[in-house]
Parts: sequence; structure tokens; C-alpha cells
Amino acid sequence: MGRIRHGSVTKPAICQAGLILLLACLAGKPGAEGIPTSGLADACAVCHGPDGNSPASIPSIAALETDELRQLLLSFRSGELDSTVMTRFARALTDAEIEQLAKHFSQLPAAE
Amino acid sequence: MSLDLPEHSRRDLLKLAVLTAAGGMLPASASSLSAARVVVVGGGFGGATCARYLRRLAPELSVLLIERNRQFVTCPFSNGVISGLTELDSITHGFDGLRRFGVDVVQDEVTGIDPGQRQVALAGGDVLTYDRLVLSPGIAFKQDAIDGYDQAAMSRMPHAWKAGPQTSLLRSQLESMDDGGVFVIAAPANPFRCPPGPYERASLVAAYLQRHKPRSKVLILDQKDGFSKAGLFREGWDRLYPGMIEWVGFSDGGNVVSVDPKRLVLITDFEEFRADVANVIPPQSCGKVALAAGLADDTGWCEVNHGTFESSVAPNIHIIGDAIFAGAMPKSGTSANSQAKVCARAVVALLLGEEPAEPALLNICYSLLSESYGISTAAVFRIDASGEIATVPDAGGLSPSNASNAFRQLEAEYARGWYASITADMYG
Repeated sequence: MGRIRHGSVTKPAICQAGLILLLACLAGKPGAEGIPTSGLADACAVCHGPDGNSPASIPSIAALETDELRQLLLSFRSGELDSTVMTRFARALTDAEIEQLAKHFSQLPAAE
Repeated sequence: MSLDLPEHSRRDLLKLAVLTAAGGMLPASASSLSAARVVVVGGGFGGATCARYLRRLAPELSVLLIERNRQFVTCPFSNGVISGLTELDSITHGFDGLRRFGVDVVQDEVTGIDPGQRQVALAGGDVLTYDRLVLSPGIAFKQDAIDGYDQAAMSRMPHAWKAGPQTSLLRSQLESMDDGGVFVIAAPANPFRCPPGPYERASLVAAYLQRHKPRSKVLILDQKDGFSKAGLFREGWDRLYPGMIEWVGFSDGGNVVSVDPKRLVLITDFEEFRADVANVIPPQSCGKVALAAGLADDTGWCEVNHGTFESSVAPNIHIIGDAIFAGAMPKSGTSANSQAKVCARAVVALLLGEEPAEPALLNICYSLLSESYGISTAAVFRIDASGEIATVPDAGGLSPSNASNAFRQLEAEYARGWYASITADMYG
């Protein structure tokens, strides 16, 4: 959004503040940097299942603790934790995206 | 009095004015989307995923999926069926899950698209109006790309590059082959559906032959001088099937230019090969629906916006999956699924008059060299400065060479896990 120009009258300033709020609500939930969270999280479903619940051999990630998910992703990214494929994916993630993904999946319910 | 805002803020203010006029204040989404309809064509990895994710994002949106078959048979793991590892019903999926999710699934075929009127005509007679159209039509085989390989030839020399009856046909041909026979695979030039596919097929056919007809051989005649995951495939072939699989590249005479289906002969630049089973995978283009609508370029593939997948030649039509040029993304099931989700988000944003979000895209291709030996290639994609889909450097890549048996076994397990997860993601 543009800066409120110095000397603007009150009414336009309120409109602009309202505009900022409305557009923030409409735009989906962007993270501090990187890609809107749930768009990024969508991609994980191919292996970890829809909404992080995997029907077969690949681990489910829904409802894990934020701290645990964050640590796993950081450790995969650094290579400290061995994996078949997760290091290759985690290396594309920024710190902010790791944080968002960890929060996102921790809030999803585990399947029965 | 003028608000004197910077250019982009003025535009945002106009958007807000439009939305406010259209349906009152927040949430604008419910009222504007409940009157909209999105038609999705194709019930495979792209179309099914897109239909499902449209409903997830916007439960009030009318989503219609048109698919000509009652069930969808996946190409992924069809090599397992051909080689006897699994049965056709394990790779066959119905649409009841999508229906329960609120997608209106119509078994029919699109015979025409009118972008001006925003209508699609169906073979059954209906004409449907759309606000946005998503095409995921897969591939078509290029006529006359290989001389003699016509519709009739496909029952003598199956391609099995669209799964279903062709899969069963190739399997029965393999099962009928005598011990000591040669199973020939003719692999096409780039770009084509599923780059590692022909080589996974060679591997699993070799596994079957080693067990049941051990004097037999697999011969790959390739229109290319290299192939996906070649180093890993060769390492695995040497380890698992020494002496059984021969690959002949383009420059060494692997380019099949014509075939004689009656005699099961394949003719290359240099010589003729007589096969006992001939699996010809011909050069491809985008699916018929997109070709007929004039959405492809001279090479037979569709150009799209890499952020929204909207066609470069027709407005309000999005195209995803194997049918498109998608920058660095290979033509794979995971790519189609990944694009479908981005497309669904973009369609909803565009229906709301919003800026679509920046896409997050990835791919993973698993290949089985045997039931317990798997390899993979992974990639993550972003939009680069020129608006093209490009790989994120320093991420993605291949499985390691010389990995342990345990590693290969785990990747084979995860290949099966990927299949279960992605088909749940698509069909519920």
C-alpha cells in the first residue's frame, strides 16, 4: 500500500486504513516472506496425503507439534537428518516457509 | 477531491469499489462465487485434482468435471500391471469420492469449445456455459510420426501409454511370448509423457522375464541420445538384470522411423529389428480437445501463463498437465497435480477479481526397477524473473548412486506410498 501522504485529510486516511485491512483479508494468508502458506502446503499432499494424512507408507504430518515439524524440516534441510527425498525438497524452503509449514500442519487434525 | 495515492493503490481501491458494488462488504467470496461455474475437462491427475481443490477453496462454487470414461486408469503403476506385479483394478479409480465432495462428474466427451460464448459442447448433446474452463486433456499420439504406426497398428504393437485396455493387451502379449524372445520398446523423442516411464517398463519387464522366461531380452530403441535417470537405471540394470537390457540411442541407430505391424518389425535409420513383442511409444502432442480448439502451437503443445495456467491464446481457459509447455516441469502425474492446485487457486482469485498468488510447484517421479528397488527424481519450481517456471537451484535432484539395498527398498516403499497418497488427494 502507498504511504499516506503528509497533510491528507482524515477521511481518505481512514478509507486507506480500511482498504489495507480489507485487502489483507481478501488476499489469502501470505507469510512474512515466500509463498502463501496453504499454497505451499498443498504441494506436500502428493506424498504425505491430503491435509497431511497419509493412507500408506509415507509418514503423516498432520497434528504433529509445531516444534517437532520445524526441527524436522530444518534438520532435513541441513542434511543433519538422513532422508531419501526430504533433504532435496527442504533445501528449497526459506526459514519463514519452514515456520509457516510447521504451524500449518500442526493445526490440521490427524485422521482417525 | 483526489486521494492522490500511488498508482497501485488506486487500482486496489477500484477493485474494492467493484467488489463492494457487486455484493456488499466482506466476505465478498461467498456471494460472487456461488453464481459462478467452472468446467474441468479430464478426470486424470490434472483434472481430478483441480476439481477437488476448487471445491476445497470455494465450497459454494459450481464445479463440473467432464470425463469420457466411467473410471480412470492411471499410467503410474501400469508398468506394474504389465509385468504382473499388480492387477488393473489396483490402478483403476472411480469418481464417487469427487461426487461426494460436491463435484458434478459427467461421463461424456467434449466435441467443441466456443471461447467467445464460453461454452463447451458435449457428444451427448449438452452445451455447457462456463465462467472459467480448465482443460487437462493429456496427450494424443502424432499421426504419421512413425510410418505405419496407425490406429490399427496399436493392437499389434501396443503403446500402453494411455492406461486401460492397452495395459492389459501388452501384459497378455508379454505373457504369451516364448522364452528366448525379444521385447522391444521404441522410446520417443522429447518432449513426451513420463520421461522415465519407458525405462521403468524395461526394468519391470526384465524382472518378469528373469523369473519366467530367463533366456529373453529387452531391447530399447530410442529416439534420444540420453534419458531420465540414465545413470541410476544403468546401475540398477547391471546389478539386477545383467546382460538382459540393451539400450540403443539415436546416434547409434535407435531412431525408429517406420514399423511393419504384421511382421512385428521396427525399422530404424540403419537396420531392421524383428520383435517378439513390440511396444511402440510414439511421439506425442497435447490431447485432442486442446488441438481441435486451436490451443496448441506448431509443435503440438499448449502455451500457458506460468503463474495461472491460463491459455496464451484463449481467455478464461486454463490448461494443465501433460498438454502444456510448463517450463522446467516434466510431464508427470505429480506435475499435473501440482499445477492443478495452483490453477485452482488462480481460478478462484480471478473469479473474485484478485491477484493470483505466486505459485508453489514441485515434482517427484518414482521409478521401480523391481518390486524392492526404487529410485526418484525430485524438483522444486518457482517463477523466474522472466515469468517462466524454473527449477530452484540447490534443491531437488536424483537419488544417490551406489545407495544401499535398504535405501533402494525404502524408495520402492515410498513409491507405493506416493501412489496411495496422490490418488487419495485426487479421488478421495
